[in-house]
Amino acid sequence: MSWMKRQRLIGYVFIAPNLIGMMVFMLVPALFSFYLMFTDWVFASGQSPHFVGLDNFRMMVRDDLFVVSVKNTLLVLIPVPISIMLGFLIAVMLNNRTYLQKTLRAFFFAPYFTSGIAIAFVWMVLFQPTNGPINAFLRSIGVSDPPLWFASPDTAMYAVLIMMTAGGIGYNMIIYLAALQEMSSEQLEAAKMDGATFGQLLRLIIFPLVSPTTFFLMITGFIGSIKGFGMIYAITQGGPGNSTTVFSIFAYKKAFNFYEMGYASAVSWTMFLIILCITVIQWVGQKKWVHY
Amino acid sequence: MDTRNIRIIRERVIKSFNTIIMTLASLLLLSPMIWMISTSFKKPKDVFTYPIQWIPHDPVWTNHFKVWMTGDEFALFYFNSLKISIILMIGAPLLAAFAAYGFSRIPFKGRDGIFLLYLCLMMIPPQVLFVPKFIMFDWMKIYNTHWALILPGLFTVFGVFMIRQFFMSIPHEISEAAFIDGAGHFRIFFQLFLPLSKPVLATFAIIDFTWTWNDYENALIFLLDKKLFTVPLGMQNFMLEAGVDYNMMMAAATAGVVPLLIVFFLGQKYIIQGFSSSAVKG
Amino acid sequence: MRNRRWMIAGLALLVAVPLALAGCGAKGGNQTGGTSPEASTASSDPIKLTLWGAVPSENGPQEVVDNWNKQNPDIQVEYVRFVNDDAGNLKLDTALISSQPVDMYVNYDFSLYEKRIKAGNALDLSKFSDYNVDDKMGEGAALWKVDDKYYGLPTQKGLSFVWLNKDMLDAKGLPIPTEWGLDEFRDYAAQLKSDKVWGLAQSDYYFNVPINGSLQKQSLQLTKADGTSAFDNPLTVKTLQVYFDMMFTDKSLMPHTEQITSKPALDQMFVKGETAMLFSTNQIFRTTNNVQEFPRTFKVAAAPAPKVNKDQSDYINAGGLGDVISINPSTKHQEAAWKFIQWYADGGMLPMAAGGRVPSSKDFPVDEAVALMFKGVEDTYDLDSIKRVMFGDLPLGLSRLDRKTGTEQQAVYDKAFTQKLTPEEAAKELARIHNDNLKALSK
Repeated sequence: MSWMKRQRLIGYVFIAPNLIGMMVFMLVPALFSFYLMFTDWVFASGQSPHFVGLDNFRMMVRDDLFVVSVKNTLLVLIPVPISIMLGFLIAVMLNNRTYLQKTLRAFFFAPYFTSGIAIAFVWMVLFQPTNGPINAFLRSIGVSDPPLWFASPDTAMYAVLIMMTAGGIGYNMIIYLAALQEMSSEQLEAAKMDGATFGQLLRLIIFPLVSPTTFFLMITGFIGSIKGFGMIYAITQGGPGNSTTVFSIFAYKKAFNFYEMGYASAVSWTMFLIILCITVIQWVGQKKWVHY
Repeated sequence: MDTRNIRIIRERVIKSFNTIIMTLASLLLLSPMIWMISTSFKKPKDVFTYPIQWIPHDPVWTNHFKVWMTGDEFALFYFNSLKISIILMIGAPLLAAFAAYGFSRIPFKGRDGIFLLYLCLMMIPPQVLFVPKFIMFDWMKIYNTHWALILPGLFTVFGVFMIRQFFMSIPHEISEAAFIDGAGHFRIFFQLFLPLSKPVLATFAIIDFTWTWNDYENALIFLLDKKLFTVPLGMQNFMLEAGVDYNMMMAAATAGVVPLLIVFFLGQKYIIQGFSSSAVKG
Repeated sequence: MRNRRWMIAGLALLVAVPLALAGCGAKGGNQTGGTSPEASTASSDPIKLTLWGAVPSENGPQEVVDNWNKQNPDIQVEYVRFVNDDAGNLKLDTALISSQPVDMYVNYDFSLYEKRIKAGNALDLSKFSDYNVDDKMGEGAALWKVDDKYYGLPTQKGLSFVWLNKDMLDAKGLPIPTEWGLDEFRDYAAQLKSDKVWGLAQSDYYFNVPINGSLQKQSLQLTKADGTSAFDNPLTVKTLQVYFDMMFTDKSLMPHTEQITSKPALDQMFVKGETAMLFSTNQIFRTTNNVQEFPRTFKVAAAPAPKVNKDQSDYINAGGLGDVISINPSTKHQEAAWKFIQWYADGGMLPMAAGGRVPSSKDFPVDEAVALMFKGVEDTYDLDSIKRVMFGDLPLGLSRLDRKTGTEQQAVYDKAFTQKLTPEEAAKELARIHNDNLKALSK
């Protein structure tokens, strides 16, 4: 066996266990739903699927929920880089620039442990228009007519974006913390001795070092942000007036509420296409800034 | 005073200042957990009061007592959750690390293509997969068994991706040196990469444990038998016909956080211990 | 050579991990096998049945099945609770078409019930000739007939009505209404409101109660004679206008969108005296009866749901028979299930009464149920008005508006109460959505 051939074989051996599992538990259901996309199948209706071509897509682009889903799906991209940046800064701080590092790490990561229902409830309370602390604060600094946040179709999405930004910080931080452990302290000390400022350190040494992690967080962050819906759904169910409906809620409603699996598959695969575009752009762009 | 002292003092001041800012910021993010715990000690009538009682005025233990003692077998649910989560916390990172090594360190044909397919699988919204999965699981006879959660949980794109990114950043000189010594990929993987990647493995294990522990929807759809229920399904009992029984639910949720905290504090040791020490050992 | 050794070690590990897991999982598998009701191989083994319902088991169902199991050692029933939301119903529907045992289940919603019938997941009860449903349950039961057959047995009378804080009414000299329209309703709310007290609170999207109630006489599908939507009419416009005024002119009702996004516990608001009136269902009993945890000093009275106009003669109150128990046709024990259901309807469901469920069977000991419903707290209710509403002879009906239309219309209500749509526009929009879905259904 030539060296190259052996390499290839060993490569397949390494990925095989995971690949086979993936095929069975992800790819097969995914292909099934891909097929459903072209049918009118309604789950638990006693009817078998009928092939309807692209009817589901025609129906989708006419659906009230479609336009708002596209718009909101683009909006939910915004919190991702912000929350990655904040997570990065906090991780750097908690790596060696504060006291109580262990405790603070746990504090920042705590939302990740907390029951989703508790998180939803607290955000609901924080943004409560009449009694909530956020508006109480705004009134105290002279805003006479503070936003209604979740309660108004005009502002609900902003509240969602704020919530998502905060929600991602702890998780991004913990992943960066792991990445920062790779940094050797000698490198940093040497740079410090050369008189580098903290800003320079961040930009020239730390950031390039963690760029594979940043890349990972960007890719998974955008995917998670577009796919995620639990917290939004718990608070607004996509309302008021559909204003916070994103693609995943759109798909959830069709699939869980109305059992329209054919239609829900079409919606989901459209959403998939959007994510794919965003991921491909990032994948191509990584050469410019990711240093392995 | 010499400059060295001034520098030390300045650093201490900056460090204290940072600590204060970070504490304040973290408290905001911590507030849901504080609310969760405090609500678990409240009487029902104190849940919906404005301003919120962050510390219950009239704390009671009965919620916690009721969660464990009355009616449903919460302890059994707890055991089930632990069993599934621990299996996955060990199995998923191992399988992921194995694949990640293949994707990052061995050049072979179609590698990047397969990896992109992986990423694509991660992009599919789960809602639409429940029904296809259900049909498949029923056919495989694993519907209504813990297998329905364990088997799919073992294979994660996320873990492969995360660990791959880490492996990519390990200097090639390290493995090349081992190659010259005559070591093969398997040996390099087990003896060099696994010990080196403790931080990322621990991080992924924590995240995976948390996911599995909190997974509601898969458990909801795929488990019917009460004896197989997990903690999130047990919490359903506190979803009443009209609204949520918050104080009971939060008592259950508080009980549910304990394993997560334990895993986090155990794992944090490895995350922070990090590269330098394991590099020495490796 | 060394390479090969490592390869073997690696492969061994990869094989070992799944095997270890298999050992662990197999135990789980056996566990399920052991508890499945198909295990009745020996004739002495009792029949095992599962009943799926949405009421939390400690609120009555557990006591019901315990009573049954004591009396019927040969037929053991297990109660399985599902949450009556989208995900919970999906779970039930998945379980129904799986190979796993669901023997009986309770329907709470007509369109889901109809869907389950069409999917072949509900047994046609006409094969049991020993029980005359119409005779037992009264004419309201007929609403649950599909193609002139029963596929489930309705067991309780559900009803929406207005709960009143009688002390607050007395303080303003307001009598307990026995018949009213939205104008009177609004007037009451405005008079009863004060700085810390809402005049009215109501369940989410309850403005559809008067709107739908005005249409049901025409057809249960809320359509006009020509089969198109009946939503666009002056009564709908008026309802939206009155509610809008209550929220924003009188400020006697919490703005709708604020309510749905901050989800206050309405039943608790009522017992704590934070709202004078509460438009909801009998589910509130559980809270009003619980004077230990929610002590209150006032008396609770009840009024029927308001019509749109007081003199409206074609108004149908939302409600009618509910809790419809169906049998899964694939159960091995149809007769046993049917036996249980009859027993439940004719008396077995008594423990459910404490939570406000009014049994619908005429064989049911009503007095006993009422006694249980108010046990120990009789003094805290104005029983005359409660009995008048709950056991009176108001015209009851159950809309058969499909779920999809109902859900999609919620967005219209949201827009109407955030001034995105005028009441007239909103009425047209409600009709448009309804018509779109009617068209899709007729295809």
